[in-house]
Amino acid sequence: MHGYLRRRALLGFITVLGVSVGVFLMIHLVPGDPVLVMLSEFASPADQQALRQQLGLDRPLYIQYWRYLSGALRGDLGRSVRSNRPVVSEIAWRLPNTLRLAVVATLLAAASGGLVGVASAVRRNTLWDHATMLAVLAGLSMPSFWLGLMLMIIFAVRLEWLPVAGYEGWQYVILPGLTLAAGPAAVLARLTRSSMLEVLNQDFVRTARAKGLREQTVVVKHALKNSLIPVVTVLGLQFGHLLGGAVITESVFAWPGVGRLVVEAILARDFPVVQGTVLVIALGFVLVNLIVDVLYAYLDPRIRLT
Amino acid sequence: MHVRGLVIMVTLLAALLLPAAGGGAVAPPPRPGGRVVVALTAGWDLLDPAVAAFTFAREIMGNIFDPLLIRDPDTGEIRPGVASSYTVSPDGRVILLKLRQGVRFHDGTPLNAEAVAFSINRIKDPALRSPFAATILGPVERVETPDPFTVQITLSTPFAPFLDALTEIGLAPVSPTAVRRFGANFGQNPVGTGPFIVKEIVPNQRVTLVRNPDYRWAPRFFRHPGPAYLDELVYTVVPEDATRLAQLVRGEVQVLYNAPPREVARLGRNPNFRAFFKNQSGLPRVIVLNTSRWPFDDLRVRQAVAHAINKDELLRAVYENVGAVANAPLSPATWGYNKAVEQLAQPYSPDRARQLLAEAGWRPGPDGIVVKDGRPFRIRLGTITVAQQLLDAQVKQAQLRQVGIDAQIVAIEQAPYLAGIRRGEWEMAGMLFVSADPDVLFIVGHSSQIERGWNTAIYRNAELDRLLEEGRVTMDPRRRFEIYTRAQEHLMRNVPYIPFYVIRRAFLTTGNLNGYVLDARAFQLFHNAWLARR
Repeated sequence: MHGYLRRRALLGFITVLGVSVGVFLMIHLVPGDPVLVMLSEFASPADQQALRQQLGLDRPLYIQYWRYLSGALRGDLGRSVRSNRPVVSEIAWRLPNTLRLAVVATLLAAASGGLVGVASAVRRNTLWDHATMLAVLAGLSMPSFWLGLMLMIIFAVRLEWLPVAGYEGWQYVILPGLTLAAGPAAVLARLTRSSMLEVLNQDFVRTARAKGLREQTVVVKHALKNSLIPVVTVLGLQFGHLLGGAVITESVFAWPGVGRLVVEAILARDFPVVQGTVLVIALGFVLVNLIVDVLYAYLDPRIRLT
Repeated sequence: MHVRGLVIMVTLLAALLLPAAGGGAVAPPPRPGGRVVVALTAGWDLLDPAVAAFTFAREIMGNIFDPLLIRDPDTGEIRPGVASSYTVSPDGRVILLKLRQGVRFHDGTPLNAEAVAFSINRIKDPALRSPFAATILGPVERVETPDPFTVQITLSTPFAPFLDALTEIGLAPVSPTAVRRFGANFGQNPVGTGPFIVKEIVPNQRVTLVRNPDYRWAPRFFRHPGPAYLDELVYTVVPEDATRLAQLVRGEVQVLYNAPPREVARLGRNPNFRAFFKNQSGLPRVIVLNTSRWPFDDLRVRQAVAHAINKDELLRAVYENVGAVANAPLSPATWGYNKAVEQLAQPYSPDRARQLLAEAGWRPGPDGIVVKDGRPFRIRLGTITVAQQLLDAQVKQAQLRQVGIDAQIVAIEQAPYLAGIRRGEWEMAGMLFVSADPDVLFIVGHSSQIERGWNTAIYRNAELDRLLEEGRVTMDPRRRFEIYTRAQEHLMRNVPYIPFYVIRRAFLTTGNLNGYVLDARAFQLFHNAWLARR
């Protein structure tokens, strides 16, 4: 197990390193001069040159990258071109917001998607099954900005149960959480259903039933646990996506997460922020994948992590 | 993002929202207290006048800092700010500012000549990398303090726009004590003399300001010099129009900055809301004609195009009747605008356009396009790839087609577009330039500004150059006004640019917000604002 974790950590490190090289190159190849963003077009060429030197932008790319990397290893991601604040602190206060939203959305998706999936599998080909699978289709095809605005109109403006937008307090997380949960919940419902159907037809389930166990025990203890592996994989991936920030939902609900940070930074050519945020997002992805793999071993004793 | 979808959503949302809104309000005398939340569409950089470059930074700072002079929001005239008076030496090089006494920064530091000199010298310091304030500062040679409340600024050459610069928040005095204390982080801890004090800044998300209880030096046009009425003024960033509208209706925010025009027109008729408009100052939207080459090197052809453009139709079809038709090179919101200049605008007349083209030697060709020397009148019309600007170009294309001109639209992204018009890449293009001072005409009309500045018509004329140079160094407002009237007349007669549309910025507030002022640059001032009980 420890050897496995060490190997995975090394692989993860290489992945993050690769991401950092990719983002670094992309940013420096895209047209748009950060110096002009900082100085306005009317600055004299001498001023521009001075700033370029000060930022080290006149140095060869590999030196710039090395400086960036060695800083990042020490926890220094540079300073935002726009606000002159350290990139680490720009990310630091948004990351908990993104996490909060991602956790709420994932829990909502897992709970609702799982329940609906199990129920549909158990009552296969009933009216319930058809109705929920139709709802799942709707959940999959609804664009998040549309769903977000609809929820906003109904629950915030008409019923006045919840606030429209903001981020301080539990009540603010509900609407964006629901908006974000809709897509993953639909995916999970379908997946849980098909995975459950497969497991329910297997010999050990028939054996469990033959032993005279209650149907509830058969479904929950025997079938569900065994059908969770693909579900956990997808859940992990979805969570990873949410960690990267859900730009549209964050914009609709004015939620200050890393997704909006990175989009605003791209538009402002604030390249230290773009680099730093993408690095943090990549790190999150790698960690989530690792956790998912460890969970496999718990769910299925046949899988050994060595 | 799904722009079209969002536009539909905004409209749909507004339609669903309307009946839900609550009771109206009539304005009794000002009532202190309350909290106003303003929804901005994007963030800011730093709230440091000397360093800030973003529009929304200027917007927020206008309530934290006081400019030295201030433009009257209605007339655009320059009035006392924290400087109670100013005099300009006959040679235009020395500006003497008398400061108001008893003015204090939020940290208790007195505002005196030393603080003003400190603030201006700070902008001049190259290490500060001031992007905007340094650009407008002009040729300041030195700043002296003959007595504690007099500041003497010497320019290396006379520069009339300097007085306009003194009305900019970018040159507003900052607390020297706070700058020494916070250094490069002053922008996160701004300390000014304005009616509101910073309580909390959450970068690019929210700024909370509270009333400055010691404030007693509001500009005269506010009619009440004392502290602001509101307890709190909050700016939040809400990028989506639909969300901002929902928040306004729900009462989570009280002001929408730059509200979508269509919604403003609609909600403005509802007593629960109020709409405010302000014409954008500076060079209005103009058609740029590249005067340096075929076919617009011929004045008659330029005049023909001006007659061929139906500005009313553009206003209606493209800008949804929000704004106004422009008939002068300066927007009516700019000091120096003279209504008399509008008489020189070429009225819409396709017949007159065809006649002028015929005089210039153009004959109708087989496909309806006019031809001269075997060459059809086929030009390129440069534009940016924004839906509204594409529509704008298409309407112009159809109008030009009526008189036998074939305009082919070239649409590209903003950054290469701006570079393209500076090089004179297309025969015809579009431009605007925001400014509160008529010196904007120098930037777009003087021959030294070809490629370097924004003389994108590539127009060279010694007479215009002389007028624009004179306007820069003439400090007497009456004389200066005459000079710019003549410069505008010259531009209207010689048609390097065809002004056609004055942008109107729109703001939407809840019906109980009173005393709200838009300054000469369409920034919001809240000193006088107060909330009626609902």
